[in-house]
Amino acid sequence: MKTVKKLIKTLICFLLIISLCGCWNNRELNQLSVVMGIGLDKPEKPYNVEVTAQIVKPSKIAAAGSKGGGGDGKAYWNIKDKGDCVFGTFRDMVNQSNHKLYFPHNQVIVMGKSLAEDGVSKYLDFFMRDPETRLNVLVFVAKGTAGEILDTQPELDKLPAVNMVNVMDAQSRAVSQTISVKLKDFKARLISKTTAPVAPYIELTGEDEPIVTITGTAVFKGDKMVGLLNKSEGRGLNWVLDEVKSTVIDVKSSQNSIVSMETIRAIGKFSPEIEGDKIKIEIDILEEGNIGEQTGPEDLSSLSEIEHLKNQKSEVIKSEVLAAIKKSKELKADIFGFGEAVGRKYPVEWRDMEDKWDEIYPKIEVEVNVKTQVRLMGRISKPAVPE
Amino acid sequence: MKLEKGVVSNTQLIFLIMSFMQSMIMTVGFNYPLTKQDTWIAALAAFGLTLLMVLVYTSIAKKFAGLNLVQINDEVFGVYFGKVITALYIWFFFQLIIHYLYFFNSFWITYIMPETPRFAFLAMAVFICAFSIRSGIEVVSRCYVLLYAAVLVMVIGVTLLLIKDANPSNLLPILQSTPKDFIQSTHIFLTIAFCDIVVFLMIFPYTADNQNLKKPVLIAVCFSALFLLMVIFREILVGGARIYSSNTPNFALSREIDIAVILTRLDILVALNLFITVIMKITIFFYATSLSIAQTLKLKSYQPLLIPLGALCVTIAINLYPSDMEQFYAGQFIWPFNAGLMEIVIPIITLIVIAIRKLPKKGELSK
Repeated sequence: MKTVKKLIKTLICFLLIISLCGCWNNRELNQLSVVMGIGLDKPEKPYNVEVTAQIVKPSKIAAAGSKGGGGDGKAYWNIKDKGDCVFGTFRDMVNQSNHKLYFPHNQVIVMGKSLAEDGVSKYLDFFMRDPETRLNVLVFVAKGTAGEILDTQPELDKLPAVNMVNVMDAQSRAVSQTISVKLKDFKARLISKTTAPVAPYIELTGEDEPIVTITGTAVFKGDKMVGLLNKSEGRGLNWVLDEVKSTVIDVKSSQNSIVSMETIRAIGKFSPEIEGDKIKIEIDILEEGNIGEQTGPEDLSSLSEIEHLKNQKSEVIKSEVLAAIKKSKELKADIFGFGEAVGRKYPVEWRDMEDKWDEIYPKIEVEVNVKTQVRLMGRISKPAVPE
Repeated sequence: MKLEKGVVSNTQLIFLIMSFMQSMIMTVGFNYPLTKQDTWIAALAAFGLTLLMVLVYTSIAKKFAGLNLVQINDEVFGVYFGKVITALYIWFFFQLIIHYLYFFNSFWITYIMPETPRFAFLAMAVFICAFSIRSGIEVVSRCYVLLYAAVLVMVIGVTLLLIKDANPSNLLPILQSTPKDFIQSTHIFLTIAFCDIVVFLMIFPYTADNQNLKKPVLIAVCFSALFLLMVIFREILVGGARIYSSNTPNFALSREIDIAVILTRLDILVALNLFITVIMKITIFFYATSLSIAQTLKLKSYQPLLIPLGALCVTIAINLYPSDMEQFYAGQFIWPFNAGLMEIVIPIITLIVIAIRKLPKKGELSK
């Protein structure tokens, strides 16, 4: 009897192994169409949205050697489909792809300019609701269509989507001229009543071979794109939001030659103040950096010259911040989140202001205080000119 | 005759209560739509009220040391009316099982296994609960020390990984919610997160030192409240406004962990830990339900009840709500009132009746 019982127990253990093969809707690795990038465009009527999904070709990724090799070197395949809404269009892609799309590894969402101007909320809901998609993807707005951006083979990376992530990352670490926006930040700004969403703006440059380039910052009003910040205005935005990690500022020396200054550290803060019926925003920016390059023959290592450079640098930063504020006032889009800051500090007054913020925002006063430091001068103290 | 022969030491009782209360981090999602960034104040307010309720529960338990809730009801309200109250409690504990099962299963099929039928998941979960309490409360309380540590490590780990994204200004402006919303949010915390420790009136008689229950219970509740506050602060500071519309903010945030692209996608570990918290909660309710039924029907053991009770739980939990939206509405606006009756009103009435009837009468408890 005891051995029978033991046998039955062992048998049950073996039967349990059958259930280990996975859950109800298991999907094996070789059955996944891994999406790396998504493009959203506005097609001709009667369709609402054209979706581009960039799918990895695993065999091409694994192959050694760069592009070229043998035959078609593309390591990706872009599926395009049109439809009324994003979710349905993605499902509809099974008509072309051999597997259901797999989103967790998606890196970027690119929105065409015409779609962005039309309003993006209705197209982004899927990416916030679906269990597979993640909020850590980067958001871009493309001049032209997102489809052609995603279809431009980069020189160094194998996948256009990965290339965009790397370019954005390098850009925000080295020059900080455009704010890097993840879907979670974009969502937070979409939810806010007053703060306007922003997203990096990319386009194709280069004459023979197109290259994907980040050229500015798209500004949204509500969920519709209304304007564009250029690179220096974009840096102005980054100074205020404390997003500048490192950058290069060109200033004039006292002899009127160009000196390039590298920023190593920067801190940006702002606080609102209500005086009577006026709203004043005080922006404080602390910056420190080194001399990176000089073009003139003068000796920069004198104390008076350093003082001059500091002031010049402050002026440049101040002008960039003011330019960004001027642009945002023109667009009536509060990209800095000044409104929310007022709401945090003056909750009672804010209740009346919140709905009228569009009219109030262009009238607010802004004071920019910049404090800069020049720390190092590099390996040489004087340029290589005869004394 | 005692139904439960195991003995829980008072240290184990602390861990038992703390692991029982850990699943409160899952239900904070009910509070955010109401009080937003003031949720932590509501949690503190509810914690203050909970301390009072803990005194109520422990003084009831102290008056009738060695008797469980069913026996206490019989003593306090008489044999017949006491049975009515007991029936209400059995129904209440049973409801808690199926609500937690449905609630957690909804989360699970939203994120992890979208197309798995509810039955497959619920059957497994109930099986685990039934299996663990078959060996009695002593075994359960011993292994919960380990499970508690696992969940604690997870929650603290996730908090540390997210701390770099914290934005203190998300806490402002403070105290902006309307009094009505604030009271409702406190009410939800009080009834859903804290005061279901009323179920421990079924377990107190099996502790080693059931004369001095106040200290271990208060310690456990205080630690749990700290734990809850840590999670709420993390969600408000890191998530801010965008997290208040999330069904499970706790899990939604853990999906966003991204340390240098390498340490990312930890969500499955977090989901498993959340599963542990809910299983720990359901197990206690399951134990209380089966034990109180066995006590009421004067059975020799509660073990034969586990399988039919489990089957009932699974079948009812599958179709508990037609949709998740109704469940969310019920959690916010209906359940707190239902639970408030059983967790707050009846214990206070019990205490008043004890005072009026001058219970326990001398000599009665010695038998």
